[in-house]
Parts: sequence; structure tokens; C-alpha cells
Amino acid sequence: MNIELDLITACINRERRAEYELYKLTYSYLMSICIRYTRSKEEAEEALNSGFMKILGNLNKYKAEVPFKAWIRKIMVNALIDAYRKQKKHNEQVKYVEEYIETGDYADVNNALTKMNAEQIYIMIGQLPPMSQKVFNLYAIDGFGHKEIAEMLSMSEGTSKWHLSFSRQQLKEMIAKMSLPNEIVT
Amino acid sequence: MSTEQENFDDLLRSKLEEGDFAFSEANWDKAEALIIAAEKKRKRRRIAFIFFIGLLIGICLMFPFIGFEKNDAGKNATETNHVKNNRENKKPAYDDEVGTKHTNNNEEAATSQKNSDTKTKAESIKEPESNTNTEAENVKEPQNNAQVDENTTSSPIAETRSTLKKEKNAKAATTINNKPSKDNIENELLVPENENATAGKKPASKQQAGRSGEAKNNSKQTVSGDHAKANNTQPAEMQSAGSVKKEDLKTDVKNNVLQANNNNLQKDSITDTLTALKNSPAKDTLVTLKDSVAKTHADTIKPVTKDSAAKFKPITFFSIDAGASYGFGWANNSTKEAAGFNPVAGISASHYFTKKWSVLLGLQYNSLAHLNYSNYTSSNTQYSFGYSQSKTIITPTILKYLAIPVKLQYWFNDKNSLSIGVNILYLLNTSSKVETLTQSDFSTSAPAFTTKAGYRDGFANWDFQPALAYRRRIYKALSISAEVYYGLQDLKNNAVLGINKTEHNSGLKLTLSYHLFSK
Repeated sequence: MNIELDLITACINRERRAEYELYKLTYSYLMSICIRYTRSKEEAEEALNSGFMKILGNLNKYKAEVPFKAWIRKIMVNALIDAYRKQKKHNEQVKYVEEYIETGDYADVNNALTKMNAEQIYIMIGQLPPMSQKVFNLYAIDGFGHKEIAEMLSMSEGTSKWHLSFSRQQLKEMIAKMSLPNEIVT
Repeated sequence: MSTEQENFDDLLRSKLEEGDFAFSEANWDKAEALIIAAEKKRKRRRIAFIFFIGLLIGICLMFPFIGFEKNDAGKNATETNHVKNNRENKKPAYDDEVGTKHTNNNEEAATSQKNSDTKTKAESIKEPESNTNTEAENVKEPQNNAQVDENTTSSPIAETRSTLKKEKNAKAATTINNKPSKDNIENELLVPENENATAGKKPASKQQAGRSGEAKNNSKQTVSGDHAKANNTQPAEMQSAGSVKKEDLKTDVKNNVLQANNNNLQKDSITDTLTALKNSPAKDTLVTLKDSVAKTHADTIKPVTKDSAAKFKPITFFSIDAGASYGFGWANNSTKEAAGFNPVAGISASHYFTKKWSVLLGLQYNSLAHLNYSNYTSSNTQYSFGYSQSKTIITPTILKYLAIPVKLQYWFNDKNSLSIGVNILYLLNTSSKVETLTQSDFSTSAPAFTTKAGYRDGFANWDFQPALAYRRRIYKALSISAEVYYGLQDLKNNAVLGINKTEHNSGLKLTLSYHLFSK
């Protein structure tokens, strides 16, 4: 994704053609973010469009010294989290939060993971409980810390850690299940 | 975190980065629709912003005028009070009919000073007017013979009276006139004469007959009642002495008048007064003086009294409003939607800052009917032997709003006004026509229609309508208002309803308002 400043300037000037070009150039990258935070492709597309609107609306605040990719990623993630918070129907209240003790060996899981493609991983992440999905994405993929995540999702750091561990465990189990038939076959 | 965990995360991240999503033109169309909608929203906001700024500037520009009018009103109010006070204090001076009563008041104020109101009013009178008033009091004082005492002798008129008394005593000659006195001034003059006549009754009685001719030369002084038995004999020495005294009297009265009407009394009237003094005895002079003073005061008061009509006190009128609006509607798939009449009802309060400016705030029920676009359609198909499909089509027909009109009104005169403002509308509810029918392989059932409320999805909750209105008062408390309004909000959410167009609630409104009460 190579975005030129001229294109950004044209978008700031509300030129539809430039907006179209920007959308086209960033589509794949933004979709890869959106699909991780949502549960279906349709939902991801809707989120992408509303996130793209925010990107267009904030283009005049963009500074050239910041990588454009990182900038739109931050905006998109924030837009996704905002949308999630607005729903607020996720009454996923964790009744008790303890240190989640992860079990199992990662070696086998990592081996299995290398054999998987991106689409399979998206599907697995999409099957995580919504809150756990958000925490995992924010921490493991997008590089946010637990403190930030706790603030973003209005929870404690401990809860965030719990969701992360829970997500990992769930993913490991899913990967194990997915890789099992292949192993049997082989 | 263990290395294995880190590896797991890194592996996931790298795998996810491999993911590629093909660009979707259809998705861009949706995004473009959102961009267009956002632009329109931005445009509407800009218009609304400009409108409100314009309104704000307009109000700011109008306030100085309102302020001036208020100041003028305040000034007039002060003048009115002033004049009122003057009137109350002056009235006795030239109102013969109520002269006695007012004179008593003035005397009370002057002597006992028990009545604080009278005192206050008297204090508020301008100095020259006060002097005039004093003059008037002096003119009136002799009216009540019983109340005239030695306290009044210090006043110039009292001195004049005293002089007259001495003169009369010395002359012991008075013309007898049996006509009863109606004029206060005559009474005033009678007091010393009567007293003198009574005092000099016995010595004068013998000379009464045959002196009437000389009495004509003396004056037109009228003496009434039982006291009219004074001696009309007037020797030449006495006449000359009388003329000297008369000159003194003239001088005294002239001084008093000049002093009293320092600023208000015109030279002409003074000259006239002096002429009258020269050509007539003291009583006529005083009568002339009195009229002159009265005239002068009337001239002084008149223009101020006219200005006093401009006095205005802020007031709030509460009204009940009812009428109808005609929605212009919009074209929808080659059919017209939302065009037609709708009822309007509510209450309003108009606060008048000045006679010209007022602010109206109301609470109204507005509606937008004649909608015919079906927003929701659901179908349920069952497959058994063949198929059976149940269809439900929901068509919102009426949007019900709570409207808050806020307007600034300018009254050209008592009857006509022009107002500008905004109607803030909140969607309370909707009324929808629900059509249900069943289709199968072989038949379609007749549709069943019901009306239901509550389908609000896809409709904007708020709307803002800049409005311009003309109001005319058609009867005492009844007024009619014609208003044109334009809704800024796109009533239907294009994303939800799947239509890419804007719908503005604009139209004309005609309402009748009845003033219930004011506060």
C-alpha cells in the first residue's frame, strides 16, 4: 500500500475520484482489520465503510511524518472499538476473574498453525466470544497493552489478561481440532 | 510470557498479514452513499449554522433598538409620573369645579403635611411649577373663609388682602352687589371685604343710600349675602389713597406672578395680566392671573402627556394555537409522498420586550401524514406440499412530532407582525399501516389491514425547521398566523431504508391563536 500525499490532499478537497482510489488502495488492509473484530464478512464490510468515513473525516489531521498505514490502522481499530462499546449489549460480565492458567504445549499448536492459511485463522478468531476476541486482537495482533485495553473496553487489567489467556486457550483448542483430522489422515 | 506464546502470537500475526481481500465495487457503492449522505448532512449543518449565526446577528443588531425603545419608555414613564404629580398638585390651581377639594389637600400638604403622598408629589415638582403652585394655593386659600387665619398673612396675597382690609376700613366705602358669588376669586376678595364690612358695618350703614354712583367708580367688586351692607361712600381722598393702594396691590401681585411663573409664564400673559391689573380691580386681576397660570400649565403639560402614552411594561401573553399545515412533500418513485394537510395544535407564550418586539416560545403537536413508502417487508415461507408464504408489509403513514417553535416577532403596528425563528421537532411516534397476506401455490388470501404505532426505525428523531411567519390580529384576542417552514433534516435514513434521496419536511402552516391570559 503506497499512498501519496497528493492523493490525501485530493481526498481532503473532497474529490470523489481520489476517495475512490484511497478506498481501493486501503480496502484489503482495512478489511483484514475489520474481519478480526467482527463476526461476519457483512459486518466487517459495514464496519469498514463507517471506519473509512472516519478516516476521510480526519484526513486533515494526518501528519506526513506518521506512516499512513499505522495511522489508518489506529483509526480503524478505534472505530471498531467505539462501535462495539456503543452496542453495549455485550453483557459478558465475567463473574470471577482469576489468573487463567494456560495449559498444553504450544509447540504442537505452532506447528499446526504454520500449516493453516489466513482465512482459517480469521474464522477461528471470529468464533471467539466478542470481548475475548477484542482483547486478543488488541493485544496479540495490534500491539496494545493491557492498560490501554482496559481503558478502551472499560475493564480492569486483570480482566483483560484473563480474556487474553482465555482467547489463546480457545484458539489452541480450535487449531488442535482443525489439525487433528489432517494428522489422522496422514 | 513464554517464548512459545510469543511465537504463537507472531505466527498468528504473520499468517493474518498474508490475508488478502479482493476489492468490492459493491462495497464502494455503499461507502459512496455514506459519503454523499455525510456531505449533505454537513451542508445542512452549514446552512443551519449560517442561519443561526444570521439570527444571532439579527438579534444582536436589534437589541440596541430594543434598548433605546426601553430607555425612551423609561424616560416617558418618568415624565409621565412627573406630569402626573404636577397635575395632581396643579389641578386645584385652575380647576374651579374641584378647586375646594384640591385646595384642601394642598393646604393639608402645606400646613399639616400629614399626607405623605401629596408631600412626595409636591417635592417632585419642578421649582417654577412649585412656585406656580404656591401661587395657586395663594389664590385658593381665601376660598375657605373659616380656614383663613393669620398664618397666611405672611404670603404676598395675604399681605395684599391685609392691605385691602386696611384700605376698606379706611375708606369704609364699598359697592353693594347682591349677586351671589360663584367665583372662588370673588369669594377670596369677599373675605376681607366681608370681614371689613362686618367690622365697619355700623358706621357705614348710614351712608349707604345715595352712594351707588360712586361705587361704580370704585370697582366691580361684588359683595354678597348679609355682609353686603358696607358703606359705599368713597371720598376723593380715599379714592386717591385707594388708587395708590391699588398700585401697591398690582406691584405685589405682579411680583408674585413673576416669581411663580419664572420659567413657564410667558411675557405676553404677564403683560396681559398687568394690563388686566391696570384696568380692573384686584379680583379681576386675580381671576386673569389664575386663568393665565392655568393656561400656561395646560400648555406645558400637553406635549408631555402625549409622550406619556409611549410608556410600556414588558408583558407575556399565553395563547392556545390550532390550525393546519400543508406539507409540500417529495417525489418518491414517480409518486408524491407526504404532500397534504396536517393538523397543528398547541400552546405558546409571547413575551413582549417592547411594543414592537416580542419572543414567542411554544409547544405544539405537528404531524406529517400521507406517507406511502413501505419500509419493512417480511415474509415467512413454509414448504410442505407446495409452499405457503405469509407476507407482512409495514407502511408508515403518519409521523407525529412534538414541536417547539422559537420565534422573534416584530410588530409593525398593533395588528401586524413578522416573525423569524426555528421549529425544533422531535419524533414522538409513527402510525403505520400493516398489511398481512398469505400466498400459496394456488391462491392468495385477501390482505388484512391494521394500524400500528411504534415503527420508528429509519426516521430521524429530530428536525429543525427555519420558519418565517406573518401574524395578524383579527379580533381582540384572536390572531392568525401564516408560516412558511423548511425542514433541514433528511427525515428518512437512507442506509436503513435503502433509498438514496433526501426528504425534507417543508410547507405552509396556518394557525389561529387565542390569547388566554397575560402575565
